[in-house]
Amino acid sequence: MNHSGDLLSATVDGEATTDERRLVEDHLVGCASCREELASITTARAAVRGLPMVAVPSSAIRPARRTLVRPSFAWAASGVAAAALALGLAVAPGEQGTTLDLDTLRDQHTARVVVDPGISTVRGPVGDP
Amino acid sequence: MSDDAIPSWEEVAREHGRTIYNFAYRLTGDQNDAYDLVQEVLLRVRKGLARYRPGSFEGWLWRITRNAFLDEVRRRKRRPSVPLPEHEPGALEPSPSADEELARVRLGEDIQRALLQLPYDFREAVVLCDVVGLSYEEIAEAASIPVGTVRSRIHRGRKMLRELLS
Repeated sequence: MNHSGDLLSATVDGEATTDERRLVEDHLVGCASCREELASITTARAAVRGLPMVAVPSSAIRPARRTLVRPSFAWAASGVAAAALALGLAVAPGEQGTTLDLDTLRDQHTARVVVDPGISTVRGPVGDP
Repeated sequence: MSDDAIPSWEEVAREHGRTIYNFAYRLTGDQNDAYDLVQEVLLRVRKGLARYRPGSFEGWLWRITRNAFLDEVRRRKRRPSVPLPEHEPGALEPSPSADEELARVRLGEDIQRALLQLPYDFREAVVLCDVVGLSYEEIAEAASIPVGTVRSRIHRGRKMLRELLS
């Protein structure tokens, strides 16, 4: 008799077909090994699902902040962002008239350093905002 | 979000920013990396929305997210940078009344540590399923792999995780 294997996860996730689910249920009755495997993957699934959602810093999802280039974030300085920085162009669609120059950016960067220490010092889940 | 609607950039940032952040945080265990990824993904979304046609928005968004993440992983492999400092667990300032909370956080840290030990493909599948909440079909679309492979990766990832946690 084939063991249930992948079908166990698919079943607990509601991703198995009706026939597959029936097959798993029938198999589990007589297979201690698959029952044990089901218990294992159910525990792991619950553990990951139980991890709290970490709050995203609002500065990360604010359009105007997008042009901020952090020293450790060279990959943001690609293409459009880099060109926009150099030229001081308007870079935020939907925010017509917004222009940024390097002095502004430097100020924003300083502000971030002051405002954001919590990001790097708070370890792990910080709960809902 | 309905499959027929093309969301604005602001809607994507508002509705998905936090999930993208958590996706990256659970894959890397690092909030700075997560911060950077959210910004990069939203930049790509902003550029890509003009070309987006109504369809599976989740599949589209998570394909962008995954590609941005993998691009960054590849970039760092080419140019290794100084590792970011470890967070100080002491910063949590435990107090007697916070025992329960501390236990919960420690358990969360154990789970995070175990996640980081999974091979990337398994970790990604588990995180997309159990943290982000995507269906197997959406994960398959995001990762450009067959649904059968998604099924297998999630299952094997969970089995490994359970062993690491015991």
